[in-house]
Formats: sequence, C-alpha cells, structure tokens
Amino acid sequence: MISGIRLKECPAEGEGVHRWIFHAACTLTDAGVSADSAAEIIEELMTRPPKPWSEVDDALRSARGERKAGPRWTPAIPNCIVEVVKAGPSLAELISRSPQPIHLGQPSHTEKYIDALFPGDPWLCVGRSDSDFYTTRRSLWRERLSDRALIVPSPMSSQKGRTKQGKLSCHSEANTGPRRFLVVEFDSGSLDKQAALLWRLAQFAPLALVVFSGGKSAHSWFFCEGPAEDKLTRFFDYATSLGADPKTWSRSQFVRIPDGERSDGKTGEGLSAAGVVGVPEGRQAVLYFNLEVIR
Amino acid sequence: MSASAKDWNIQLLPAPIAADNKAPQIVLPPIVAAEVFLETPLLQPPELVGGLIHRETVTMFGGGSKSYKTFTVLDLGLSVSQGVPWWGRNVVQGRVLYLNFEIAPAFFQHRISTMSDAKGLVRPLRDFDIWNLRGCARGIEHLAHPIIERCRSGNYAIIIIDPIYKLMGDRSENSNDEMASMLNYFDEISTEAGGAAVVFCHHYTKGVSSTKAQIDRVSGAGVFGRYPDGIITLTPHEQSNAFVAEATLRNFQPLAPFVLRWEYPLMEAAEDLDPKKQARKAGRTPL
Repeated sequence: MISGIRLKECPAEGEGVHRWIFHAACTLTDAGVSADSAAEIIEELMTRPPKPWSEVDDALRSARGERKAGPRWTPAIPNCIVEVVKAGPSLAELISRSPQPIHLGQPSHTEKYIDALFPGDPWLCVGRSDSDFYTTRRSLWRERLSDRALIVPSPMSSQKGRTKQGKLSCHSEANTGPRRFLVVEFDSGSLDKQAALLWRLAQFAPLALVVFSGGKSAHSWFFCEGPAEDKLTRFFDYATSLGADPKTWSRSQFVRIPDGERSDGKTGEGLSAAGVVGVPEGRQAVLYFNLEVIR
Repeated sequence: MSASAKDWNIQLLPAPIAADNKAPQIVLPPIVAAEVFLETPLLQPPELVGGLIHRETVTMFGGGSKSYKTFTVLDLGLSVSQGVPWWGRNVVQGRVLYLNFEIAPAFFQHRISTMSDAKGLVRPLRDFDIWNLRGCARGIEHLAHPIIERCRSGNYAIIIIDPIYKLMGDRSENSNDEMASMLNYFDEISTEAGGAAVVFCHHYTKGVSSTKAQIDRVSGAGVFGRYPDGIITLTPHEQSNAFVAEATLRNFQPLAPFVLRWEYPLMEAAEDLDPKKQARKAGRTPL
C-alpha cells in the first residue's frame, strides 16, 4: 500500500514480473503519480532488475497511451499446427531440399552468405549479444563476421538512430532500413516440427535461408523486398497462427547470423535429436539456402 | 506440397481468421427443430461391455503406476475377442486391436499366454491382433494415419492404446489445448476404423489419489476428465492388493463402485470388501 494506492505484490522472477510492472504502471499512472516517482516505486518493489533496462519506462509510457500498438497477431491454433506438422518434411528432408547443397561441418561461410543476402556495401548492424553490437558498412565487416552471433536482417539506413528512449544507438528502429528479409522463428517444438511449419510457410513466400539458432530453434528468412506491408502482415499473421514468435516482426529485431557463432559457444541437442550431425559446437549452421529467390 | 514458392503467393494463404473471434471458419450442421430431429430414430452404438463401454466411444482407464492397468485392458481385449465375460459383465464378441507401446514383446507374449490360460480360453485365440510398437513412440499426429490405414480393413470392435503418454510427442500433458488436440485424433481413429471403441490407459498423478474426485485423478490437463465418454479408474483399496473400481459414464446409468482383488494374472471380484475403504496412503498397497 503506497499512500492509499493498492498495488499487488510483485511475483517472484519467472512468474509474471513483466505483467506486474504493467499493472503497477497503470495503477500508479491512474492515481496521478508522476512518471519519475512511479518508476522509483516500481523498481523498488520489483523482484528482479528491469529487462531490458527500459522495461519500467516502457510500461509507464504504455500506461499513458504513448506507445503505438503493433498488429494483434493470431495466437497459435493447435489443430492447424498438428495438421501442418503431419505433412512434414522432417529437418533432414528440409536440408536435402535446399537448392544450394548444404555441407555441414565445414569452415564457416558467413561471409559468402552475407554477400549473397546483402549485396553492395550496405550498413549492417551485427552483434555478439543484445548489448554488444555495432553498425558499419559491409566492407568494414569483411572477415569479421564468422564469430558474431546476431544480425538485423535488413540493411540499416544510417549508422545510428534514436531509440524510443531518445538515445543515439547503432541499433534502433529509427536507423533500420526497409525490410529486406522477414524472419520467422518457431520457439517451441522439435526441429522436425519447426521444419514442417516453416516449409508450409515456404509455399506462400520465397524462403531464402534457414539458420539453426544453435539452441532449440531454426530461423527462416523470407525475401521480402517488393510486397506491400499489408501482404507481409497477412503472411506473418498466418505464421503466428502456426506458433511463430511475434517478436521477429520488428524490423530491428536481432536474429541469428548465418553460419555465425553463438556467444556462449554451446550447441543445443535439437539438431542431434533430429538426426542431423556434424555441426561444430556453437555453430549457427545454415540448413537451407535458396539463392534464386534473392534479388 | 514439395516445391517452395519463388515469389509471394499471399492469395494462396488459407482464409483469414475472422477478426472478431480469431477462430478458424468451419462448416457447421444446420439447426433443426426438435420434432424434425425426432422424426428419424437414430440407432445407438451397440454395447460392447454391458453397462460400461459402447462402440464408437472413447474410454479412459486410469490408475497409479504399477496398478495393473495393462493387465486390466489386456484382459478386456482377450474377453471381447473371445466373447467371454469381463469383470463379470457380458461382452459382445468382436475383433480387437491392441497397440502395445510399453511392454517388450517377449514379456507381452508371456502375459497374453498366461492370462489366456488363466481365463481358460481356447487356443488358437481368434480375432485378437497385437501391434507391438515399443520404441515407435511419436506424437499422435505422426501415428494416427498409419493406425487408421491399418484399421480400415480390420473391422475392429475395439482398439486399445496402452499407454497414452507415448503418443504425446511434443505436447504438454498439462495443456488442455494440446491434450484435446491429441484426443481428437482418437475420435478420428474410432470413426475411420468403422466405429471401433477406443480405449486408452493413463496414469494417476503422484500422491494420494483417493482424496480427489474420481475424474480428476489422472495426471495432466483437466480435459482428461471431460473428453472421454467413459472414465474407469482403479484406486488402491486399504486392503493389500485390492483396488476400488469406479466409473464415470456419459451414456450409461451410474455404476456403484466395487472392489477387485489382484489374483495374478487377473483381477477378480472381491465382494467381501467395502469400496468405501480406499487406501489413504500413496502407492500400491504392500503384499
């Protein structure tokens, strides 16, 4: 209880802190508490540090109605997923269908993939982690990409842009250029299941690349220069109905760089469980590559 | 579909989901007036086990770990296939398919042989098919259609699936949506196999089962207590090696609980024991 304001107790970490922050932000905003005071109160009551650091500010801005709402995506429809998964293919079959042959276990070909995906000398935002990243020209990244983990899947429009908090950063929505690739990630289920789902999507959009995250998932890159945003929205809505994670809709969302290296150097068991072996530890292996659909 | 798209084919996407309810569009049967509905008498599916199991239905057997569930449903399969009473109830003879996902074939063979001898069945056994699938556990989405293909020509009266957890695949046992999507396949198997009864085994949660309502004793999502047409459970009795059988039945008269005594390899009626005296401790009562 804070001077007559009734806030629920913040749950333990992992049990809904993010939702509690929004509840607290709305309650305090409705009660007329200033943004600074509200942020102090919330951070004092939280059971973990903010993640990201702007989490509390974001919630307060949402509570004031200042944040633009994104599309409301269709939630996963289990019966549709079951039907699609039934049709396959398995991950091994997906790899065998790659127009460019996939040779697992070889030295990293990150440079070759980046040249194909981003021809010319565009700005590229590349990172080792969410907090360790940089944006520079493709030519200056040369020979320095194979040990990186993350990339924004569209060229950046400039080296820096302002974040929603007003800070200049190499990684912001403001300095992300028009979409070149729309990436879809299914964040649950075996890699065989994910292969079937992304192959289903590939019936409706040009699948250029599939990258193993190094953990549990595969990132599928769809080439999307040309189609209007409403078409992409329609496609992505279908993807979320099959269980895709909505977060990769954001143009500036980091995804796994092809044939890059996980920052923790580890490899999940997903690949071996799907019968795919020979991938070096920590490698974000490319599992499918279709050069023909990239213009 | 084998080829991937070269360009965007949004027009080929499935119909959008209605913005108001975000539910897939389906074709529903018409609403009919009650008198119209009553005009054409519909035949009820035949009873397979008197007062317990109809054809064209789904029945769940629940019990704790090592509570002889497999022996119990194997006894059911033998009884139906050979046309002899089961648990003292009349059965209508019919062909049986037993999907054995759990017991190694050599042990399963021994069980069938021992049980058929104990039941005094005449060999060779007729109308009883075994499908040994240990090691072939997959999500039901991978297995349903192979199962249906094998069953279409089998004219099975009953298909026994033992145990259900081997067919869950990536599904979470605690998710109502995911368990419902799995159980929907059992309806499909029943229909596509010509109206066979589908019977499956599922295990209790850990702990003292007798303190929970009968339909809530099995592990996982609440949909297990709602979906099956029949829920038959075996809960330890306070006397060693005895179990209280209870049934919640959608399409039959309520059945009073009764006690069965385990006399290897069969469950026998134990009319001398009071079904109200369920064990208050977890696990199988010691010998």
